[in-house]
Amino acid sequence: MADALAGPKTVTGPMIRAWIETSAEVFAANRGHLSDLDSPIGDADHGNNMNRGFNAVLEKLPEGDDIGALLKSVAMTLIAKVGGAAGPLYGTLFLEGSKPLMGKTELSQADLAQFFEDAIAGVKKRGRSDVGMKTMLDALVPASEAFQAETAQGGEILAALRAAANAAESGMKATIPMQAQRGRASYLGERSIGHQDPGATSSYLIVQALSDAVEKASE
Amino acid sequence: MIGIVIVSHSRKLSDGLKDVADAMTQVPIPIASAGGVDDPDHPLGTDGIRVLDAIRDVMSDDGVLVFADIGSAKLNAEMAMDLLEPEEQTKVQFCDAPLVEGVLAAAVQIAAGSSLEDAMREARQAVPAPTEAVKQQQDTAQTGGVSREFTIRNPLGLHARPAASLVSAMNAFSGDIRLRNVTKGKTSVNAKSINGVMLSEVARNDRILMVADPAEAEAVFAAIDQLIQENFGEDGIAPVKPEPIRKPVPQPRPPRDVSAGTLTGLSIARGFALGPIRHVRSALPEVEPVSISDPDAEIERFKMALSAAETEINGALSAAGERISAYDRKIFDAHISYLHDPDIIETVLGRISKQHICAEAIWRQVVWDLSRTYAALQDPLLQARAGDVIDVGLRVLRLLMGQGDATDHAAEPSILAYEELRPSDVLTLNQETVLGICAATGGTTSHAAILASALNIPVVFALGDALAAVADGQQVLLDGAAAKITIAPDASAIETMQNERKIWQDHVARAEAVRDLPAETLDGHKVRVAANMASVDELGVIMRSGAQEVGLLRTEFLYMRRDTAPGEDEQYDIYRSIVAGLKGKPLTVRTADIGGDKPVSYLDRPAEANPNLGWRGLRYSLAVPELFETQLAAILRASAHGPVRIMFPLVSTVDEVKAAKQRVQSVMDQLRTRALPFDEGLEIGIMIEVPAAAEMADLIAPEVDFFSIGTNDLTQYVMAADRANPKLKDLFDPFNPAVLRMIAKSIKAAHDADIWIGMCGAMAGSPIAAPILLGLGLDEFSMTPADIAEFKLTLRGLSLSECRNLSARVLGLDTARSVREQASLFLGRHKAMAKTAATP
Ligand SMILES: Nc1ncnc2c1ncn2[C@@H]1O[C@H](COP(=O)(O)OP(=O)(O)OP(=O)(O)O)[C@@H](O)[C@H]1O
Ligand SMILES: [Mg+2]
Repeated sequence: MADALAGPKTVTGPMIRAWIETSAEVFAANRGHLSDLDSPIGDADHGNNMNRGFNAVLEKLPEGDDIGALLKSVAMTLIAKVGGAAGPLYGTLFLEGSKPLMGKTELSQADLAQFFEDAIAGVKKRGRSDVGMKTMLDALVPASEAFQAETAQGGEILAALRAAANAAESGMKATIPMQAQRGRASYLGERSIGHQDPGATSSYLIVQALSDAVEKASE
Repeated sequence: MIGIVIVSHSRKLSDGLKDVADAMTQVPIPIASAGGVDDPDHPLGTDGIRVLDAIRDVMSDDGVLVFADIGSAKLNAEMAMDLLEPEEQTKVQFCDAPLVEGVLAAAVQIAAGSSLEDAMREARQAVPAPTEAVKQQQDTAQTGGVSREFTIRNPLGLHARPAASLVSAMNAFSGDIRLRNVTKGKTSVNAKSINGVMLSEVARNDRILMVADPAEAEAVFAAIDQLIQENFGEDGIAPVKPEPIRKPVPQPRPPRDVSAGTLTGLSIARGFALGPIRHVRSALPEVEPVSISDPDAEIERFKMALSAAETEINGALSAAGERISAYDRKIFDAHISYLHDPDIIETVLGRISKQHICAEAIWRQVVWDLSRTYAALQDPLLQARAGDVIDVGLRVLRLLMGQGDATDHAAEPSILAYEELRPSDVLTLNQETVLGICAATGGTTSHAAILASALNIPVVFALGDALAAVADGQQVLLDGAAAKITIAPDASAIETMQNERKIWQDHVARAEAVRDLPAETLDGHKVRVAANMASVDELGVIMRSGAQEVGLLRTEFLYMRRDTAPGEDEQYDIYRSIVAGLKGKPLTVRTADIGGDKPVSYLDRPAEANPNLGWRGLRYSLAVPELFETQLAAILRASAHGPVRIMFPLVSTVDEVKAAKQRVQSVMDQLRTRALPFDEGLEIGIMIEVPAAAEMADLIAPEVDFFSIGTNDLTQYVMAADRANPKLKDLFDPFNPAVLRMIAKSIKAAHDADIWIGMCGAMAGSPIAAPILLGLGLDEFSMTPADIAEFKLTLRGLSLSECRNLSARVLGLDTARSVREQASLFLGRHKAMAKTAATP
């Protein structure tokens, strides 16, 4: 089932930098949308939080191609600047994900799979949460699984990332009928049903940004 | 001085709270305000780095308490604590108390000089929980009912089967019945709801408050009384020592090409199988929410599916006949009670009529949420119930979707692959065509594991996600004992397997044949084969195992997972039920080895830098006479009902043995005064697991009736090699001649003093150790019941005189490796002999 597409065999430092920049652009563009999603079931700040966080990330991003160092910097800035629950959660995601990547300037497909896995394990631990609780994990976990499944079937990096982004998008939509069990939305109980989770949405945007950035770099 | 950090979404709030706290304390104490984020337009939020800096600002050796308001404040407080250096982390505690009251209470305590723990406790109690009286009032007001409190006494508490018994009894009544776990401070639940009851996590000795309709309250309470008296049908079963649910072992990245290579997981049942993989999709499928126009019809359809599911389960149960035990059947009784659970049904019906969405989608969501709730619970036994919920959920979903029997297992013999195996899957297996089972996830304590391990086919769980990527129809080789599948095995792998399988099958058949025969060598030397036991649940297995006695009953399980130490009567009941179950076979009870790797929360023991060399075993027992004497009294009283021995763990000196015996004497005196019977001649022995005891065995032996060698600890102490350290694997090997010499010395000391000596460590059940230990003169071999038949088979092919030569030889060898080689060679020769001896 090998994808005929001639994508990159590795993900390089510049691609990761492009991912971070794309994410910042996406959050600037979706700031209103995310805060709107956060308004019926939260405190209407998620878009603003993510936008503020990623603006600061761009300002503080170090030079160089050390991917671990880049991602760690993202983590530390998000922890300080996001403000909402997404701060420590995305902070942990990037921090845990970055640990095995320190000093690497290029990531293999296996490295990326590992990144997803470590990052998600971190979020689960930090948030004491798991899939099905109407949180960002509902987008992240399917994304990681799709990445692995596509990889296992012989798909290359780009194909696997596209599969991940698609899965994240479905996962995000699947949060609509769920009842929230973590975060502010959980205070609403059954009334949280019927709304898309803002955190799952930002997670989808981040995964999509990675896929887009790698695709663009390989054109 | 202890510092305080205030984490709040609002800078104003954290600053203001600091001001109030400062004003309340005479002495200034270090308080850091860490509220808000640096964004003038949107100042509400929390900043993890600011929290980190704040912790460091007030840090001293006395420690720091961190308080937070809600949501991200808590997450960021924990984040910051994770970012501290390890030596800083030990000093910082997060205090889960209401922010304002908690900070003020802690500040006052700290100013008054109290410890971190005291300050934290005061802070937590700063807001009194509603009193019992108030809650009780709420309970009864809610229903206009009458309430009564009960204490649950059966060992398992209101777990799956007992919970099902309670729920079915309660469903016989027409009025509302509520249950609230008072001990755990849970909220009140519907007592007719299996999930409500199970999620109340009622453990043994928990108190529950029942509220019932005045008209039938007396009858309800009488029914509960009766259940409690009947132990909820548990027959004195002691708490199962829960093994933690093992998560799938991390797999290497899924190989790009899953058409070759091997996957490894957890062994559930041994055996070999070769055949095509057939995936059975058993995960809860995604269901599109479809709008419906007639909710009443939809509700009708849903109810039909529920009753069809019940019919199906009953049908499958009667078809399974003898294949499953009465005890295991109860697993499915619990499944049926899910189908009647009013909470679940009402939620589903309510959503159908409100949301006008198809029953499939709603049912799926409700089942999924419920399974997640179980999965998130602390108790591993309850966590494992998530699988049962999904199992029932799938069945109903399939019926709703109008799909026939899910188990359309092809006629061709195959190896079934599951994401997760569920109890129902096992029930509906066609044993003719199923060669083996493998699953991507799953742990050894799940119901499915228990059921599957009885099937006599190889079963391996936790193979990881890569299993899903193995193509349907792909040939694989499944090795149950090695917990491994080999994908697309080549001819030589298959041949090896077939040979091994043949050998193994012969072997199993031959082992089965000798299971109940005496453990006797070719030249007529008899030894005793015993079983190790760690919970009453193992009684059945032990009675079927061919064991002559129980050589080691570990008693730590009695002390774990509870809030207070078990009393004399409670322990006595348990020991007595084991003695009764053993029907005259002797029971060796080892007094509790608390400490080391087995911590017990309520005993308030000091943290030790080196617990394995610490205050544990008999050392600890002698220091806490009350705990020790309670256990001795219970064991002694049980000895009135059948043969019982007492054994002390981790003995190092003669003095300890004397002191322990004195305790036994004084407890015996007390029992005489209380006119309680016990066996005056009961045997008292010690574990030989500390090198000092092995070395002094000649002086200890006259003090006791028997020895039992614990090889795990003995090896770890003789070799100075931590058993948990994988780098020391070769050192941590009982076949090291140094360990063998210690064993030889102990055996000789025992026999010189005319007492018997056994072994209850892992080595005792190892076939290659058998000829050596036999040659050294060991009298009793105590092992896990599963090893017994095989051990007897090995033993019955040996002759004592030759084993003596072997053991004399290996004591002179210089490495564990050469000992193992010699023993294997020796066994190889003798297996051949045993075979020729068997053919007339
Ligand atoms: N415990 C958790 N585990 C995983 N994700 C969570 C958790 N709590 C919240 N989330 C995610 O965070 C998103 C909300 O992020 P946001 O930045 O708006 O935080 P917030 O709820 O406003 O934070 P705060 O607690 O400061 O009010 C939710 O949509 C959800 O996806
Ligand atoms: Mg928010």
